[in-house]
Amino acid sequence: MRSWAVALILVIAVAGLFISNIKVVSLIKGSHYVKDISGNGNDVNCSACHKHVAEEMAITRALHGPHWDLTCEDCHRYNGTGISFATANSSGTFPGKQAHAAYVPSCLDCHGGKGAWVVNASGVLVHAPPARAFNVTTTVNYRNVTVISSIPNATAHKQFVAYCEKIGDENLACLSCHTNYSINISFSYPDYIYVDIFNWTFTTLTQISSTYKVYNVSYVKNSIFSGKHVFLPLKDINCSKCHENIYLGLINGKHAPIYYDWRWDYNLTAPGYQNGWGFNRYHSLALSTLNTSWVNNTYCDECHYSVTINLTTPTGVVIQKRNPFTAAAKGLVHCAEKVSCYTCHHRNTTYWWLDPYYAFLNATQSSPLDAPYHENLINDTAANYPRFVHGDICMACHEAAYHSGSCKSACHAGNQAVTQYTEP
Amino acid sequence: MDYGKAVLITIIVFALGVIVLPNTVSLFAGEHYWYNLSGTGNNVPCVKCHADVYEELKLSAHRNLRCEDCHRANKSITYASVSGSYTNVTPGKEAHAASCVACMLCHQINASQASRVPGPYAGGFNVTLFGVTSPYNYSNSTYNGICEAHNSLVAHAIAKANNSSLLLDSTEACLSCHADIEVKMNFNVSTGMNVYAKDVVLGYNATTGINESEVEITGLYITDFKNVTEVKPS
Repeated sequence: MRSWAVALILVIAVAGLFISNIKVVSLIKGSHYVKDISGNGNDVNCSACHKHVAEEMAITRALHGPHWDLTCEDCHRYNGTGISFATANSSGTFPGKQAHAAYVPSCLDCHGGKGAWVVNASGVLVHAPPARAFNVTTTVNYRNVTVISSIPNATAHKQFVAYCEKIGDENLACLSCHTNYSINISFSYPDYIYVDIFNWTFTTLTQISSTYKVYNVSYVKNSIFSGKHVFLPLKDINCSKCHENIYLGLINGKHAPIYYDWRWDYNLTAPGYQNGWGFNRYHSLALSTLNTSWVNNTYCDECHYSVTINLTTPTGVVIQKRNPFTAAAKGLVHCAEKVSCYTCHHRNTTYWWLDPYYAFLNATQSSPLDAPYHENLINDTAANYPRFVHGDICMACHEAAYHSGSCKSACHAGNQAVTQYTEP
Repeated sequence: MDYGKAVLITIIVFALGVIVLPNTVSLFAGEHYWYNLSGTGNNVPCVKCHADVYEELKLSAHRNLRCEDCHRANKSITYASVSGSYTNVTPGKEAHAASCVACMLCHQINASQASRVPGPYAGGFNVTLFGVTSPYNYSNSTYNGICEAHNSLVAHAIAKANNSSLLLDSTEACLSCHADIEVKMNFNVSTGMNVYAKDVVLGYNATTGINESEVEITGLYITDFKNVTEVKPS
């Protein structure tokens, strides 16, 4: 018999001996090793089961985004809502009431009202600022937590937040902008508006299309998990994530009259930052700089989050002052204010005083240009047609593409009706 | 001498020893040494068979508990017992020596079903929200548990246990957090949403002086679900 065979027999015999002495084993290894949770911190490691969430939070820390310095329990065992969690510490054991280990927080639990103070991972008391305009909290939901009841009408995204609240998860609205959560949006908007112009006399807008077109925006993130815990720094929140259509409108000159009114195009050598009446142009932009790089949140904010205003003194010095009239300056806006061209460029609207052109758009005053026809058009539009077509009416004239030719080619070729296609 | 001969000689020597030395041997050594069960407490050493459990338990938060504090603690079960000089013998009914135990036997709210050392209430769970039934008291009007994030995990553990003879009630869920066991979880998480928005007309607003409109949300659906496996090591 070979030596290896003898060795094998001995090994088998020893193994048999061990096996015969192990009587039974518990069903799950480790099931009787119950962790000691009597320490004063969190003794249950959340990331053991939620590793991917921890990885997303690590990205947040690397980005230095909001919540980068918070622990799991800062949010998920937040004690400012009246929810009582199970605890065990040197003072004793206390059963959970509304929750045992953790709850799914509403963002507004901390960011509603006047905000909240929480102790971060370093033991420092830090402030969670109120989500202005969405922090209106007067009603109570099923969890005994206050929720949104009345968001100011001036706030863009009001309907989005309100809808999410209605379906029971207002966090979805927050996630869509503040995290790396992906979003697909289908915007439905009227196809066109129809303007009657006969014998050089504007009669009325006759129709807003009942036909709705759909514009799809798709933002696909690059996330390792769900993206919900990758909190983006505010500077990295990009309006065009959801409003790609507007972004495209801007860079193609169709969203706002960015390079300008007819006088500009007829005199490209004119001083670029003043109009024909010598006023500074609010949307001032030289043609040579028309590219995608300047279409960023800062540009969007000039209209949609206007808290300051540039004023020109009689001596030509531009000074920046706080704008006391906008909803944004009054704290009634979260990130964007609902505006149209008329918000600033029309008398009797909220900010008309900001606009040196208001007289031009006011039917009660004489106008330097074709009064009163255009005024009629504008006033009729403002009073009788909804905000979402205002910009389209304005852009019918101010859209740069039209101005490369004659105004007549667009509207004044004779007795005709004009169909103005809307932008989404 | 080759190895074969050496093995053969060894076997012969052992065989002779067995034949020559004792006159007879019992099949198992010690099988006639019966434990005396008439003393107080548990006179059967569970550790003899459950050494692995003992090793875990002595390092655990339950290290001060005896085996019977959990496994002979269910008031609804009659365990076999002996007291006095075998003058008072109670045969086991639902169990003889020990029963499997659910964590909630001792950690439920009002642990009246536990005969030994009721543990602290866990509290903060609500499984009725998920339509499962349990013999234990998870919640009442004060400890309603309606905000707990792990209610679904607990409820599904109960539902599974109700159709299984393994871990009882929600024990599997309790162990996943409170014990040093390996847990593999498959999360099916949404990674995005579809939003449907539409321009709608609201009407003239005297404050703004504008015929107002807004973008109405007509639908919102959570989408792009993704399977992710998490493994908590033991």
